[in-house]
Amino acid sequence: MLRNTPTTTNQFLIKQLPKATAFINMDFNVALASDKWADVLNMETTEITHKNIQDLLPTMSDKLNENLQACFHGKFPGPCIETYIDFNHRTKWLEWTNIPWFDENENIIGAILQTEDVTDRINSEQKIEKLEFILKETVEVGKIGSWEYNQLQDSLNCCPMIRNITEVDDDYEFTMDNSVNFYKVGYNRNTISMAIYSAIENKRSWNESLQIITAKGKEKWVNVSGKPLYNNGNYIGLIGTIQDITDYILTEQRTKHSEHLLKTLINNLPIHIYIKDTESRKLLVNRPELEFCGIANENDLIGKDDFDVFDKITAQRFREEDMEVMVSQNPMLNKEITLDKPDGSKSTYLSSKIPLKGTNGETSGLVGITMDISELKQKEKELKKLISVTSLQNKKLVSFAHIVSHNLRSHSANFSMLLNFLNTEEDEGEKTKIVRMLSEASNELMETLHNLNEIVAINTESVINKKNVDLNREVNNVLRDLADVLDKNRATVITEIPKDTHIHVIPDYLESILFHIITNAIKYKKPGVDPIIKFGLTYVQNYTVLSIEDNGMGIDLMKYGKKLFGMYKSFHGNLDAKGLGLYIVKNKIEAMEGKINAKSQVGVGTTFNLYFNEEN
Amino acid sequence: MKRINMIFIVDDDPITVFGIKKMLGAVADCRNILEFPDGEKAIEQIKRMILKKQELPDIIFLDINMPIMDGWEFLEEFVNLPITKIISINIVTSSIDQNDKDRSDNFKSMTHHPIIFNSKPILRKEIEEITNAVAS
Repeated sequence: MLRNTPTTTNQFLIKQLPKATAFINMDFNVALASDKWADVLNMETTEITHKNIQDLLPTMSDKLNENLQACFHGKFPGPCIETYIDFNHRTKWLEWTNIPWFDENENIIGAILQTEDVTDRINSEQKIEKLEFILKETVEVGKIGSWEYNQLQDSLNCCPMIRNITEVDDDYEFTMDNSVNFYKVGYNRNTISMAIYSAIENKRSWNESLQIITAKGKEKWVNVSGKPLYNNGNYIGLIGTIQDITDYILTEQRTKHSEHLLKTLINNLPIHIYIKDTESRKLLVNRPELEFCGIANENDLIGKDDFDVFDKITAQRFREEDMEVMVSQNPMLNKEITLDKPDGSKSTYLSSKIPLKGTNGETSGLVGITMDISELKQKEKELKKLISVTSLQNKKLVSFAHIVSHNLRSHSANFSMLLNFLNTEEDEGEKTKIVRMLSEASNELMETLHNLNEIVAINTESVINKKNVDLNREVNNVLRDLADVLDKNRATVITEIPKDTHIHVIPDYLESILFHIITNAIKYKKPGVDPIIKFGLTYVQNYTVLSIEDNGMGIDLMKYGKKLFGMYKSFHGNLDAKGLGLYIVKNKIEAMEGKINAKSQVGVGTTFNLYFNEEN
Repeated sequence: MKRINMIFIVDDDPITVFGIKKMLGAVADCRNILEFPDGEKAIEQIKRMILKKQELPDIIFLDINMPIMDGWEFLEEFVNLPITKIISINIVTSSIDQNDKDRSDNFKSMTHHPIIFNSKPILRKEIEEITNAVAS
């Protein structure tokens, strides 16, 4: 027992106490203290006996002071934990325990102070608190529940989060069997059963994403993991987690679905789409772009630039376009480009390049869109051709209608005038003359109608009736038919058409054309000069050109060139020249998709060139 | 009967020529009626007459659709000839095309000669008016 005035023995004993202990007398002076106390408090001086505690511990809290005073009044205050800064400025957590100090007469003579360094305990307590907080938050935010199976007791402990995930009541009791039944029948249940079995038998842990059906019938995706527990090598149970990943899986599925949709869409668009980086390397391509580059596998194109795909000149052109778009950040829209295909044909494309900007506003690459418009171009060309043919035909039709109405009107005007005369004429001789003229007019009308009919027939005849004929044979046939006329005019015919020359024509038309031109050559021969007619053959582009040259009067083409093939134009004042022959010739050759032109010099002769279309 | 010194008929259709001559004979007295089957022959005759300082015709009946040189080509040359005399030009055509009428109106503004557009068949009344206008 401690006495009022401690003896040296006591002092010595107390010095050795294993716990940090100090005896404080009523004057707040340290009466006795263990070495450990001085050690824990690590004060400025080791000479602490008989020193005032407030001097020794300048940072002593009011609370501690109150506790001491409480002890002086015989009270037993509870321990208090406080931070303490020692002489070396180190912060510690100290637990102070105070009790009253009694002498042998049970009189209070001070307070006994025990001090314990609880820094480690406090730190780990804080650490645990932090961990618990983090765990709680993680469980709630991540929807992760933990479970533990004790084999010995055959009990399955599940945290509240698992109840939450499986949507069971608070009094539901989990067992190994009923928890497996939450998994969807088939693949999911088989997988979890196998995993548990494998963990027990083969010490294997698992981690699987599986589907469960909750107690309320809701389908959920979970990530379930587990591993076996051992004690001294003996299996004692399982431990693991289960996480609700429904939102994640659904989002992933939706993303995948959108991605699939987008991919299907861009792959099946009839336009080429690609994305290039700032070095013009392709980062994304769709199927038409792959086909356009002539590469089968997408991976063979990703990361490549145009120099790997196209010829150097084309690639350089594309690279310059890319640079222009990326540097200026202005899109290039619908630029028409023509490229040579491997088979030699040309294709036309509309190419657009749109700069891609990163979040910092700098160019990160470009999106390219290319559309093959070759077919459109071809159609446009055909359409233009068709329009020109149609407008030509329309022009012809208008001109024809005009000519017809004009001709018929002039005949009817004559009839009307002559009949008028006949009504009032009394002289018999004059009457006979008028009747004769009426009859002539009637014949002329008949002939006009016949000619018009022929022209209409040409314009309605189809090109399908074209046949392959031997040109020499056709020419000779016409010459034979005209033999009498040629002989009478002492005409010489020279044919320089190579043997076996074949052309595609409507045979009747060819015959009629040859007939007209040969008879024209005779009709317009130079007076006093025997006619010479020469046939020659050349080839110009898709045409076989038959030239028929004469040594006749010739026509002043400067004056009449425009009207040469017009209707009812005659240039020589010959009485039997009706000015219709060449009009019909022109119509017939055009009906066979050919053309005709003439060269002539007055007094020298005329050459007609007949172009027979051999394209089809 | 009005007396008219000289009339040209430029037409390739003999029936029309016959008709005009017949009707002229009924309404006027003209000893010099010259016929031309196309514009070229007529214009050449006029040029010759100008050179020889001969009296030019008073009336020209002019067809449009003719071989070699048609009525329009004739008019183009004619309006540019140095002629002080007023010659009555009478287009006689089977055309009823507005374009042809407009074209004849266009020529009117280029010359001091009166140009009248007549459609075939030309009537005796019209010929009478033409000759009257010249004779008075």
